[in-house]
Amino acid sequence: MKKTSAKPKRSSTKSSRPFREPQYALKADILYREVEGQILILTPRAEFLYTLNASAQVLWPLLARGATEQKLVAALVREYDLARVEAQRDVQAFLHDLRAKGILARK
Amino acid sequence: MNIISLCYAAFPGANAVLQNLNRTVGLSRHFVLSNVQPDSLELKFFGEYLRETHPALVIFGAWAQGYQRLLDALPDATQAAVYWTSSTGQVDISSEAAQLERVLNHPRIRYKFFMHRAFAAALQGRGDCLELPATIPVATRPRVRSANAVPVISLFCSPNEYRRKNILNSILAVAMQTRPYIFYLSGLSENPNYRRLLDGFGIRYRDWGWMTRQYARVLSRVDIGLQVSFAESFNYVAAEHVQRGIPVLVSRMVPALYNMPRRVERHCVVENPDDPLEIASKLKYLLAHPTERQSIGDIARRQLLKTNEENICQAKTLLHQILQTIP
Repeated sequence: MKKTSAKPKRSSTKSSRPFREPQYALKADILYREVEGQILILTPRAEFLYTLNASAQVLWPLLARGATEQKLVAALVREYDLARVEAQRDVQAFLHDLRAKGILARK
Repeated sequence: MNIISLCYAAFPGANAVLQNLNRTVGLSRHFVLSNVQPDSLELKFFGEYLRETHPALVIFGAWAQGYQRLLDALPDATQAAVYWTSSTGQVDISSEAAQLERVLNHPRIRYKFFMHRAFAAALQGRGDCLELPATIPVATRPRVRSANAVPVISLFCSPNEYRRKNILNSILAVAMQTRPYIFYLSGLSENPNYRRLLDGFGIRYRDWGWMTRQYARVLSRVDIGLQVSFAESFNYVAAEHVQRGIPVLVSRMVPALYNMPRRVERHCVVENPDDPLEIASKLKYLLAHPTERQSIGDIARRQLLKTNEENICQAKTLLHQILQTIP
């Protein structure tokens, strides 16, 4: 005889929810400033400044306002006429780097 | 403490001193400047940063021309100081007299801190030259005893220090050893002249090059350090050995090992750094007596930690006194 579960089956609400892409932003204690077109960043613990390369400079203002990964990818594609896969790889590496340096917050 | 320190990255000694001061005494922040060209973006950034944060005191590590831009940016109420970490002998050997003169006579630099006691004492009459001793963040436990089959002798220094680190005498002293050893270096063999000397004398060495992250790991394998310098203001490398219970052969010019108990002095302090025979004889003793070597290392370590506590206390008192005079 097949055992039946005593528990009532729960209808899954998870799958019915629309997928919300995570939103990334800068941590509140990150100090940054644009000096002669170059963004310089100071984190609360680092002893030195971080600078951004050209493509990171495109992404930074978006992150400062808060952005999803797809929004960042779209910005790189638009700015540099990159293939989407390539732009996605660059964005992911950039986000990974910012996370490692304690700069990135997930909203 | 509302104190910010800044130091040019090309001054590793001064940076280490300020980083350690930050860790032991607790400054607000320490920053390393990678570019001190007067038009650098970094200086512009930090100029604005200092204007906005208006610290009570800003301490500059040694002197670089680019610091002037930061001095110009300081709010009127912020006091400026330079921490001069070279000893008097170092100033001559490293040709730093012009920078020292600039610091001593600069109208905006209110305090001149000297790491070397003799310097501060000699300039005491000016009223603005004060001794700020070197401090080290204390590693509470000594290293696990070395299990090297062959004892490791170290000679760690950066390439721009070769003139005052007494390299040739140290090499000759090592070459005279008859017991097995291995000589650890931090880039010395990259210099073709020294490499030929090392090879020519048949010295068995391993050169780790300039170390950053791996330094602590390599240091933990060392059995005897060599720092028989001609001039030093403190010698962090010697202190880092002793802190781990590793005995170091030093000259009388190494303040990190001042005031050591007689037993340590007898076996570790070389009276004449320009005598390779004396260095060799002390090295021979330490190589031949591993138990004594460890015991000497332990005694030296205890004394170093005691002196360090006093130095931390002195540094805190001095900085607090200065902060009280700043509105």
